[in-house]
Amino acid sequence: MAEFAGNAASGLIDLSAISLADLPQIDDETVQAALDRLMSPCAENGETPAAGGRARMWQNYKTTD
Amino acid sequence: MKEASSAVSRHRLTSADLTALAGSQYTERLIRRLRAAELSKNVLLLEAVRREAIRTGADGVSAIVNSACDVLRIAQAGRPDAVARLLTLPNFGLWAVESLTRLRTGPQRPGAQRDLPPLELDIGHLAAFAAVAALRARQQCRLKLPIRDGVIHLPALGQVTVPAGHGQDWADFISDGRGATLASGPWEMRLPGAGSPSAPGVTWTPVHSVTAQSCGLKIRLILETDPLLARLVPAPGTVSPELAGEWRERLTGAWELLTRYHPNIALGLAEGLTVIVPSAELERGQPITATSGWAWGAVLLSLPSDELTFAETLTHEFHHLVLAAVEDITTLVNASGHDDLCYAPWRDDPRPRSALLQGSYAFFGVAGFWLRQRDVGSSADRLRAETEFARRSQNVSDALTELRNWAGLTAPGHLFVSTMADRVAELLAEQVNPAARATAWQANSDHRARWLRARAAGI
Repeated sequence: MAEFAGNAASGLIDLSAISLADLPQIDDETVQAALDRLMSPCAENGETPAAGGRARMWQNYKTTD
Repeated sequence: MKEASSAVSRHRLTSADLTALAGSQYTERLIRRLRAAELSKNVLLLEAVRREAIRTGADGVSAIVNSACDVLRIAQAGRPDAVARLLTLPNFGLWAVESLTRLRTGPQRPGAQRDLPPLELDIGHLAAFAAVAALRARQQCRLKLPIRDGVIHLPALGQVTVPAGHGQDWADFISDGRGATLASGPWEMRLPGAGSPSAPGVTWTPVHSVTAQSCGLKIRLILETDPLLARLVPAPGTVSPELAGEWRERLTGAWELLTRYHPNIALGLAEGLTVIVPSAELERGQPITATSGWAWGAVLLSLPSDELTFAETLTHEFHHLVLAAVEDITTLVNASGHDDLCYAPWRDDPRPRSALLQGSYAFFGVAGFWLRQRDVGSSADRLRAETEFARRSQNVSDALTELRNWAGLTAPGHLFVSTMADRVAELLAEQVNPAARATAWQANSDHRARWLRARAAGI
């Protein structure tokens, strides 16, 4: 099945097989754009994030139901 | 010459992938792809830390990062799989995002960061990952490892506790290819900790791991006490050999249940879950369970009371991790979109819809878990399963009603939610014991009524 339009251009950049020695070769704009998307402010948890811009902590002990 | 943005390949999820993931139809291949994406995320954050350290001009920090990166690069050339496993660890992800945040916000940020250790010590934790990489690659190197609260933590390996009143912030790590020497001030010890170190007052505690195997499927989980991860739980616990034995026993029972009755979930867990961060209970009978998308692969847990609870909790938390990875790859929710608060059937506080999506997916997994448990165990066990199934499937159905037409969802987000909704409609059509359905209905009604009363009172 097809990918969604825009997915190919906006998804997480694939660095899973990159040599760490080659990382400095990636341009700043690409790194920054990837970070902006990854750490975009988002009220996912409705709480202050423990780290980074995006709150991504799911704490079930805070539920009382 | 720097690589052009257009030449960088990206992680992708097709609509078929999203449909499978939204329905908890996990395969080894799919979860491996999510894990690869999390490795990419951590590598990206590492590179961002390196660049930010240079940009801020903090010489000490930049030197620490560069020396550790040099060791990691050489280790990767010799043992790429070992370094990939290290960089995928949840403590590495958390180290990277916290370091980047601290570098970007600077030391003067008031409030939340006031009590954190000095920047150099926090960033310097990278050297501990590099040291473990060097040990695994049998590589010669020299590093300075931070001593934080009297402890040098070597991720996935163990920790060295140094004598009280030692007063040093750093230890010298010198690897000779056959092992390493760790020294600071008057003490010195040999790594890895084969037996007890000879240095007086210095103790080496190897990390505990627990392994279970059932139905041909194996899972190995590190009981990680890295102080970085321990910050995420309100009551960090220590792991004695006796406690590790209890975790092993509980995991064995839970794993038998999961592999026998929930094979898709077990496949996903075996591939994606690597770490348990043990916690004490806040109060007796009040368990701790949590996950963080930044610490992918870890579940933060107090020791579950029994194997069924453990299996349910792992199912719930793993759904959080899966959705976190999906959202790292594909945007499901527009961050700029309007996100008002609404009723969440599993919380007493109102939740933004983006959080409702996470909760819906976790409890969707739980509803499926109890559906499959309906034919297992004693009649009391089956009635409990029927009740939990009826309650959670109705909860998720209610939550998805809030989400289905929400304008904040992207096209992949709509597909994810509608796939869940279709599946939940099938769940609601399942025959359920009338007594179980009535109990579930009453519990849900009571919760909503309590919530409405609290909102009306402005609580």
